[in-house]
Amino acid sequence: MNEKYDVAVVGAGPAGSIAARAAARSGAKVLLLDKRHELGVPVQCGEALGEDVLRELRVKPDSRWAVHKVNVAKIVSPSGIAVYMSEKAAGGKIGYILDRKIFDKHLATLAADAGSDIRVGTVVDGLLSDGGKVRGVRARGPNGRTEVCADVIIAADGVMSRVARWAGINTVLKLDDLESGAQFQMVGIEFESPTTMEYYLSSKLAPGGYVWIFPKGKDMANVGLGVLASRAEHRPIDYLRNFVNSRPNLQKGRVIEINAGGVPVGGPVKETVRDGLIIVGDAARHVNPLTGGGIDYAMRAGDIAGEVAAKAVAEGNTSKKRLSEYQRRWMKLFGKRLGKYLKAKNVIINFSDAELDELAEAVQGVKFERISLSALLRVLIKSHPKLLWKLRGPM
Amino acid sequence: MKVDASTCMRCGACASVCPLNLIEVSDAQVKVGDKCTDCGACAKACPVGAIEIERKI
Repeated sequence: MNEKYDVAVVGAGPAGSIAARAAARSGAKVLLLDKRHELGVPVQCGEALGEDVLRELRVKPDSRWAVHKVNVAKIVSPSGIAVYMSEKAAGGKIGYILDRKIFDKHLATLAADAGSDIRVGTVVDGLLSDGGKVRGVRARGPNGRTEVCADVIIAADGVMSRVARWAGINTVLKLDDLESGAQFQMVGIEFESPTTMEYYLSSKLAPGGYVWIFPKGKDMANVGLGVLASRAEHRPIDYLRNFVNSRPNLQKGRVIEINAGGVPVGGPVKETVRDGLIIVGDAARHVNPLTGGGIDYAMRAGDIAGEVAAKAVAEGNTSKKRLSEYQRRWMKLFGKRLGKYLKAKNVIINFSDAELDELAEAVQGVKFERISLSALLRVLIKSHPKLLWKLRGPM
Repeated sequence: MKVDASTCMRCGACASVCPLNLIEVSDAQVKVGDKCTDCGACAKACPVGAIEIERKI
């Protein structure tokens, strides 16, 4: 079978579905493909998202997938010193804990509503190219093999990022640039507050990463962690079991879901466009290297990618030069910020547990009036310039 | 490399570090191309320890 679309999007996570919506809205004939039989499954994510991106991209929060609200972040040092950041009760920003199984389907539905075709259970296993220019994808699905020709391919294939590699862009992650993560969705547990996200830093609990507890209800939460693949001495899921078993408030809980996944934390890919190709989201390493959070950037990148792809098709010019509008725009929107957080990560990740304790102690009493990573970093630099002198310029 | 299908969660962390882009993860299976050199990167990346490397001597 041979089909023809203006834009083919590979991967229906947040980046891909928002890209498909944007391209379809801009008038393109769009096909959104995903290897999974059920979008959003398996969950590979802590499921926390700030409200800003939803408002800006006009995705109206719905309690079916924005299942819980949080407004406090508690960061705990290896010896147990807690630093709090709280949004104001009135006028503060809302953090959502999502149900990705519903959220991802909702975003795909928005793409469908905008006119995009969708094909699930369909594995893209190669590119069609013509003298170096990408001109489509090869796929296999419930109805057998197919070749989909498209003027622009949007690679939103997640952490694996195989499409970019087929096109000759090296997106292979080093073990230093991969957080390997595991998560339990737990019920019947206790925690400090249902509106507080908890983060635990310690080389023993999670080397090169952290443990999180993100509440999903009064006695339900995502309890997960990421460890740097190059530093882990055990399987991430074993670190997680150890954490849960060591905490009286968690050990009597029950696990109703196990998740696992890899998070790219080496900073964004330098080259995110080629003739006929755009790379977005985890595939482009659009992830905050310090926190591992990426839904926000993925959606923003997807929105720009879809719009630029559709415009380029309409103009009859899908060259790398034309598509580089996408690269310029995401760089301007969040590229610099990710670069800054990468620098911070590279410094912080090499701190000993004693040094992390020192930092926590230095800012323990500070009253943060919003949850802001950059505000935290600025205060840390000011309070403990000796440890963080390397970061004075960039922050 | 060998994947234990009952432990594997199909997350794709292995594929992200495969230097030869040989790993395809789908709902049904993890497929590995025949040029695998057993370098072991995938096993280190796996969150659940589903990958075993058979060292070639």
